[in-house]
Amino acid sequence: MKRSNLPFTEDVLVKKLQQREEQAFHLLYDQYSPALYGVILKVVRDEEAARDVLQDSFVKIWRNIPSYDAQKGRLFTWLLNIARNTAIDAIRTRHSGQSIQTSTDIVDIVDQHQQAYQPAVETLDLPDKVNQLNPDRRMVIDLVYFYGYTHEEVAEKLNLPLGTVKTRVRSALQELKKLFGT
Amino acid sequence: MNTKEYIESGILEEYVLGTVSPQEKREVECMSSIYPEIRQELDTLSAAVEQYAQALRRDPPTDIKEWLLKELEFGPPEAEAVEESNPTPLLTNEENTETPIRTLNSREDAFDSRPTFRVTWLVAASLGLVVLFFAYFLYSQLQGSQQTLSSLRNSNEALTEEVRVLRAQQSQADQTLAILKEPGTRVIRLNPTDTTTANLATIYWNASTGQVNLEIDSLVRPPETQQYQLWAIVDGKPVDAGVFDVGDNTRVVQQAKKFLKADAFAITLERRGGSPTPTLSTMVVVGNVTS
Repeated sequence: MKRSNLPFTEDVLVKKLQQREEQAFHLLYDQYSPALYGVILKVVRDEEAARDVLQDSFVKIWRNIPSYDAQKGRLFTWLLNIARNTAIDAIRTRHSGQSIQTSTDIVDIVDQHQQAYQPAVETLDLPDKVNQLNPDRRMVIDLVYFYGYTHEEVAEKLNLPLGTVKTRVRSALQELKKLFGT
Repeated sequence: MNTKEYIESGILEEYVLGTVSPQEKREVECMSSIYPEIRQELDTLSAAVEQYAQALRRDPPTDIKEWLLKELEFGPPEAEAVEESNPTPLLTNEENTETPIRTLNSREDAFDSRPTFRVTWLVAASLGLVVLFFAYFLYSQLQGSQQTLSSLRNSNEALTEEVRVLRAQQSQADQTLAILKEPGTRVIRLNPTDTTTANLATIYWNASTGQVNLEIDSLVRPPETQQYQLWAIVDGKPVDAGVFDVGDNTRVVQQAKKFLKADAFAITLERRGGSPTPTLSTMVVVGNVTS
């Protein structure tokens, strides 16, 4: 889907990016910024903060693209990780001092995630697929992937045994894999 | 390595979600570079997460792209970039152009090609140092192990020698025990004639078979020209019972001559080869059968 939009292969794009070609930047930005922005927004839940994070993310991407190695993973995944980590860092510094990780906050996060953000992802036909995810499993993915919780933290917050969390993480991703079967 | 087990362990899912430790991260990357099936699973999982992310897409505010196009540097990086990258730094340098003093502003120098070489040299030199230290470390380790090895070898030799001596002593003791166990064996202590030291030799004499065994306890080794000679006193007369040497390891000597009757045994020091009659003045020990 995303590759068909590119005038050349991802390998060539990466080479051009590593040469810091402006044309390649345009392609990269147009291709991936909506998804990165969506992820960032899901993490920081604030448009003003999200725009800062997106800017920071692209500065980091541009600075680190020369060291990107396609052997180690897919480009989009690499980009997502930079955006996600920058976003998680941003909420952590924003909330440092106050404790974000109290149990009421987690309920808060989960509630917002359940109510506010499910209707928000109406842009494509994909959300239907996301909604097919078992809610328990989806919550685990969201906590771990979007809010940067460790398995131990998820276990503590959801009051589940660590083993259950690990199993749930694995089955959640397997379900996701089936849903978006390649 | 069972790749199926590895795939099912859940580590790849953790990797994709970013919850692995740096060490696990390297492990997964290493494994996926070796095993295509692991790489395949990793890519599929990554793709699934990517699809999830695609589902969340929202158009970012348009001015972000403009801001980035202004802020980011374009054109080939490093040395070749000097000419082409000029426009961008100039934007921020306009105010600075009048000030010729640049020493403090090391950031700007970084755009020059020279520091790149300097950095390269620094990296090369520190790598060399690291290698040197590592080599020295390995060398000292090697020396340590060699020392340990040689000391182990020495103690092994000492132990082997000790075992050999003990085994010899054991076989002597076995021999003595066997003689003693034989019915009819009598033990005759040969006491020194000058009463200085005790228990120089012991005779095991079996009256029924006539067998005479001599155990040397602490007889001094004689000069090469001389030999000890054993005598049996039969009916008051000394009868030659053979000569013997005092060796390092031989303690029990079986005499060839047999005596069915004897009153006493004695040892004299004689010329090498023995003497037909005992030289009483050189008598070392004597022991009575009845005693």
